[in-house]
Amino acid sequence: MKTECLIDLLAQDDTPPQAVAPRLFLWSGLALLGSATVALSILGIRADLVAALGDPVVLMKWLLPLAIALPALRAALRLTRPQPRRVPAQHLVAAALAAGAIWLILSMLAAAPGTLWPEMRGNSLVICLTTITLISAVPLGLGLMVLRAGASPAPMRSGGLLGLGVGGLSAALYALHCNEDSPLFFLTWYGLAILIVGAAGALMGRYLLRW
Amino acid sequence: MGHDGGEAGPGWSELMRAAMAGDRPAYRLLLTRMAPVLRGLIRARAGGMDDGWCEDVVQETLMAIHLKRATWDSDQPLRPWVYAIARHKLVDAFRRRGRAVHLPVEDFAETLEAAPEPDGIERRDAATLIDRLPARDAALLRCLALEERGQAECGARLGLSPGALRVALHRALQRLARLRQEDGQ
Repeated sequence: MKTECLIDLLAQDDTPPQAVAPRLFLWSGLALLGSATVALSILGIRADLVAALGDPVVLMKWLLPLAIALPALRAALRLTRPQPRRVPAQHLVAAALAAGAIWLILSMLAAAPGTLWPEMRGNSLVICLTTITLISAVPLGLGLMVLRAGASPAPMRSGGLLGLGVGGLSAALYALHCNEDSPLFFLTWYGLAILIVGAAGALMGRYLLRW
Repeated sequence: MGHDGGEAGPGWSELMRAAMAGDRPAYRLLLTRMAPVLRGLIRARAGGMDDGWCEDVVQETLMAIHLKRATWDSDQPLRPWVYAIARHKLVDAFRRRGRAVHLPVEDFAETLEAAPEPDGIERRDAATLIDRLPARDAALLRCLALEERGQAECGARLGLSPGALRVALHRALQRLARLRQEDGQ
């Protein structure tokens, strides 16, 4: 096709371009609410939620995942633009992940001999991992579809950041049910679940977000 | 150069703002002005690839500019955004050729415009690529571009209302961009 012909065609297509951010919030947000509502209506919300929110250590079950998720979503949105500009939010994500890892290592070192694994394993690690990843599945998929309209300079990183964002929000929602409050438990399994969703996002982003 | 000036009339950013507000002649003018600049930019970095290959990259860049224009922050000048798209498309085209390239971003500034595309250098046969689209998309693009008929006539021929034609054209261009990208991988 001659370049002139192509320009002719492009100039005729006046479908207004759609911004990515509002659609991401709409689709992934709705899907996240839907998935979390289903999960929580099956599992139930912990009875002592208000008391748990008052305990600073337990409060970290919400704050830490949110500290990963919010900057990750911000960075993923920033990376929908093609210019390789600075993306400061991704350093906040790294910092939050590092803080969680350091806290986990310190807790492991401080655990009394013989109690480390029982405490870490808790009673619900399988439910925890599967629920967080399942809550994330549809919002992540829809979010990737929306991000396809973007022009990421780094598709894998974009997908990974979206995954960390969705995974973090899912973990915070799952924490409304989960009553295992040992840092050894939630740092390990919430962290692992968020990383699984992040890895899934990165792998899919690598293919889906190429343009 | 390096600014939006250098040519009489409104600059690129201004034209794009008008285009995004629905001004089709402004959009066509913008794309027409961009093409030779992109051609110069890409040929200068093509490292011995022939003009047909370069023209493909120019076209892929124009399609990406069109389909991704929502990712331009309209408070910023348009040119750096355009160059980022061109650079991405050039790196991608090299990668499909199995060549890794390093194109420093800073280096991706203005180059002299290349001469207008000589006739008959397009490497990929337009017909073949368009034929790989779904039949209705192919018929629409053929009617609008290759036969250069107006939207009204093409709509009547294909039984599309003006609104349906707009949607169909947009989807067809998206599919064409994807096909072009997959082609040769």
